[in-house]
Amino acid sequence: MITLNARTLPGSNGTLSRPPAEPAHLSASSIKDYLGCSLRYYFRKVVGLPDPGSINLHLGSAVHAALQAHFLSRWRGEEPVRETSLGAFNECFDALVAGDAAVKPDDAAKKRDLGVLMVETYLDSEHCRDAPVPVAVEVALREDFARITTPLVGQVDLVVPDQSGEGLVPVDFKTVANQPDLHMEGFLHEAQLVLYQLLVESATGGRVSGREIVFITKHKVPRIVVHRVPRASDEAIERFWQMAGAALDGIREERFYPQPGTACAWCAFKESCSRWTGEGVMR
Amino acid sequence: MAITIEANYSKKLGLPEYSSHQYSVTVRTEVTDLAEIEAESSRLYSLLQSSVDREIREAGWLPGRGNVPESRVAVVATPGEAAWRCSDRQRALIVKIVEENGLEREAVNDLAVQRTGKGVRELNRLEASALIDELLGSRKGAPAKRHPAFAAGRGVRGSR
Repeated sequence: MITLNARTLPGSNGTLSRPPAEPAHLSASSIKDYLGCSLRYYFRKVVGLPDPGSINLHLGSAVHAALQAHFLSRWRGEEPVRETSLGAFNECFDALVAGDAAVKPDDAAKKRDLGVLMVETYLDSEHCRDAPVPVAVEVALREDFARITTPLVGQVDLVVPDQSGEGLVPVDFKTVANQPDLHMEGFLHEAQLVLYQLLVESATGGRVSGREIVFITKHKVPRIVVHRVPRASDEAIERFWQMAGAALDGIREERFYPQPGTACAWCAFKESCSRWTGEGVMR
Repeated sequence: MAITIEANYSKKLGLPEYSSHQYSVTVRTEVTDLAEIEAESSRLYSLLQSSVDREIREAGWLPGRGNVPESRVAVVATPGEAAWRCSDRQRALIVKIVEENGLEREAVNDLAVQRTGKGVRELNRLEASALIDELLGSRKGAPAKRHPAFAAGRGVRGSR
């Protein structure tokens, strides 16, 4: 029996061996991934090849866990306890490191110490001290929009009421190696910030009055850099829809090709990519 | 030798107040010769399209119009019950969590009021998502405990 829509994987014998590319939903990272390199998106999201982590990714995840614990306490109306946040950091970090055989114990110890310092620096910061009681912490949102036929999803680190009293502010935390170039970071994360605005407004019926990225640097003396941008303009929102539509069309039509660039230097799928021979079929 | 054709026709309509309406039909059939594929495909397309177009005209309930921002939040109602403001999926999940864990609805409602200032039915989709996570204790990094509503003897019906 011949199936008309056969797709193959490297090393397979020509029979159907992976699910269709049609996404059940679309996120900002998927959009950025596909538009950055469609073949990388294919390996990561369609085929589901393992994407090895790194000690820096583990550090970032653990810092997020600590901040989540802090703000959950505030959301619950409890007095945050520093040890609880640091406990969440250590629990997350230990679990991730334990599952990564590539991490050396010395490296893990250094990153742990750095991570604890980063968390404590944030907890002592003005941004943390002055943050209002959150509306939501690490909240998963999934919304349908008339502009696109696939639901859009996002996981927002924090949603707080605007200090001015009007509107909501989605906040995203990022751990970075160096002092951020705010203009470039705003450009790189534009799709994510616009999507958060669309998701929060759709899910609440309210209005997003501003958006924030809070950078925590991995310096010996970590720095907290708060980058606040106003609500996205109509032009920025239209730009997002065009990007999302382009990504969705490409995914649905299974247009997956190598897109060589500087990101190849740290791409986890270089070897699989090198075996690509055209038309999405690897031999 | 049987040749399988799988045909899907889907249509999504954008509707007012940020809503949409979608319907799709999938059919799997067989032909015995490659030469039959073109005609069969054409037949299936016509059949599926007419089926979808006929049914999708009935959009059913739509969110209210107007400039009041809260009108954008879908209100789902079951006859005889006050409407829920969250999505169908969220409502079903909250009900499932309550039933599977033998929770007292009042305890869950109290929890929602404590966290958001609103009862369960008044939660918007963002607040409902947060409540669901709280009930499940499912967030990574959150203190490793489930909400007290799940603790033995507190807010729990029956023998659980």
